[in-house]
Amino acid sequence: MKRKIKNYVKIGFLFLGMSLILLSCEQEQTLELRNEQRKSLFIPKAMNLTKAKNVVSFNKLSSKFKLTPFLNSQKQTRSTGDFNLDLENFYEIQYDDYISYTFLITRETSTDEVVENLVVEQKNNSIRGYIIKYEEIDYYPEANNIFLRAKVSRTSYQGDINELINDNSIQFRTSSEWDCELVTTTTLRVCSVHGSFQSGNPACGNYGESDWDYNTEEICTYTGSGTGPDTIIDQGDSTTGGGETTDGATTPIIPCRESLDDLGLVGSNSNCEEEKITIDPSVPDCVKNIIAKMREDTTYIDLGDMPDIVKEELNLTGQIMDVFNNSERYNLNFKVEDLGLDDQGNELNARTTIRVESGKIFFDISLNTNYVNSATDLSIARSLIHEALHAYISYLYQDQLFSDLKDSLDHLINQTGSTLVAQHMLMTQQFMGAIANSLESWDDSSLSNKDYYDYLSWSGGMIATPAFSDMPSDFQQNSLNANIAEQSNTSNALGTRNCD
Amino acid sequence: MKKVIVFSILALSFQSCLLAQTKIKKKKATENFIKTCITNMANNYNISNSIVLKSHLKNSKLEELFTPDYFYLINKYNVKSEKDIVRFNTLFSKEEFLSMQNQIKNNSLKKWSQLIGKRYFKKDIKRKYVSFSIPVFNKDYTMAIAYLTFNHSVELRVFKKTDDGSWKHIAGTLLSSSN
Repeated sequence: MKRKIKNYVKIGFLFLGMSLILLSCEQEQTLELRNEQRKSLFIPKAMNLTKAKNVVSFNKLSSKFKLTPFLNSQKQTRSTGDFNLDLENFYEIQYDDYISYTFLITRETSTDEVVENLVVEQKNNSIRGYIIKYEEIDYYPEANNIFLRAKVSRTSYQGDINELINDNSIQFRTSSEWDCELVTTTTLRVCSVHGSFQSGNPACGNYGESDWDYNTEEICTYTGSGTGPDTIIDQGDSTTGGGETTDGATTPIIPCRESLDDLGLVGSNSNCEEEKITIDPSVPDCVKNIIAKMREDTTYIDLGDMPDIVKEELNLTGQIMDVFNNSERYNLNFKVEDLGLDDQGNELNARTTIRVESGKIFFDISLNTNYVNSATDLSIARSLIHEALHAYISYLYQDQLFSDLKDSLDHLINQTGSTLVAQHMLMTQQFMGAIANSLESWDDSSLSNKDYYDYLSWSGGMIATPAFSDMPSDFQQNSLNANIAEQSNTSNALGTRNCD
Repeated sequence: MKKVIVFSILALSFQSCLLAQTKIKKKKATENFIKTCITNMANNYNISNSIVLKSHLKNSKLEELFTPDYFYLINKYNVKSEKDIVRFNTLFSKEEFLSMQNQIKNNSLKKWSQLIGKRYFKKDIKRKYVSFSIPVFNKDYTMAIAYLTFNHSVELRVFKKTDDGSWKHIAGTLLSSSN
């Protein structure tokens, strides 16, 4: 009997143990998911000469590598031919005690088939440089991604630029033996689906880490006669992650070409100039014309450091467009789409959404398709100004941490419990004049009743603010009437409808 | 042999106990978080019983907003000097970001009432609605981050645990606004 009980206890314990194992499997599943995430080694940082001159490590490297004369002169002629460095678009890579700068080299004899980059690097306090050559460059699509594939070789390492150019005569294959080192190349992915990349799976690699794709290969300088091994980098085959041994790192900078533009590779490993304000193909010509006129608006006065309260009373559209045109990180994008209804079943006219891609911040300003088809130009222009102002306030809120605007907005968020309500209240307190003036400027002040611009400057969530309720009742009524008339192009509308 | 079995069972029990404790800790923190939010927002909003499970972005899953890229956009309120600035994209470790994403992915709750009962969700027709995602916590449960959808807007908000155990809204960013 006792033995039986003992056996039951044993079986019981075993059963309990197995249950516990099964229970802990839940946790293992989570850990497995984590293991799928591949770590980024580093994120290349886009640089230009003006920015780089304030970076201590750049000044040290360029001085020791004797790059300084190159930085002060746009063009350097050497016996090897014209040799130019693109100083407006180069990359810095930094991790642990390693740092490198990669520049695009151009020559008068350059062809599309061969691309040369100068890489200057510091590792363990030792500074050296080499030229890396990419041939047979191919950007190929794999599912929804575009990857770079190229044949790569490099010169031997040299201590300064003169040794590299003169002593080596830009020879990629000259000495007596193979000299290979592991070099990690990284390219910015053009990626629309995120996840873990596998063959046949449209997702990008390095999910959850960055938009940079890494590839570590032995890249060789060829020395001696005959032909050597061709190193192929293929970012699509990239399997490298954190902890991989690498002797150095670079990111290929490929000159801008029409074919790259077509692939949507602007700004990613190409030196194509990036358009900061973009218009989606969904935007019809009638709206494009409204936006184009706003972009051409140069009647605003740039008051620089004048108090915000002064600037905010003036025409703002041109200034907003200018801010986004000159910002490295922030972009403005216009589109037209079906925005659907809000919780109360009301149709939405416009929306501003923040999207982050490849470290860049996009404010997508969307107009509702039905609204575009029914509203007058005056109403659409006002909505674009209103949405651009949301983007502008969000930008200032991010960019100017010690401004009166941030203080005011923080106070209003605390008071209302909603950032959007707070932004609308801020608009009513500080930007009403700016909205009306911007609209009047866009409309070339064509209306005889100038108050009409004031009426239309109140819209959307602003109408629900206490500031609107505090306006004289006839002003409120005129404002509501103007909004209805222009939104639906009724017989009372003063604007014209150009979209069908 | 007996000793090995006993030791294995003890070890498994200990691991299971740790796991259970973590789950209980997270459940309690989540309960406490949503109760605090309901109380703090009571003047302006009704909190929806439905938990937000989807992102407002067409091509992104909700967990994809819990990344350093989107946390870069989060601003701390009432910044008076440099020392008050918090960079939320670097404040949390990579492991914490992955854990946050997993917390969203592995969430099985669809209604808050599954956690705290229905009595917290009384409708006041004067107030508008706000919906919360499940909050995600940092490693030591001192900070919670949630995704909020209002009638015309979407926000990512950071909350800090106060000395009395409640959660204070300290930072946020507007991700989308309509009209």
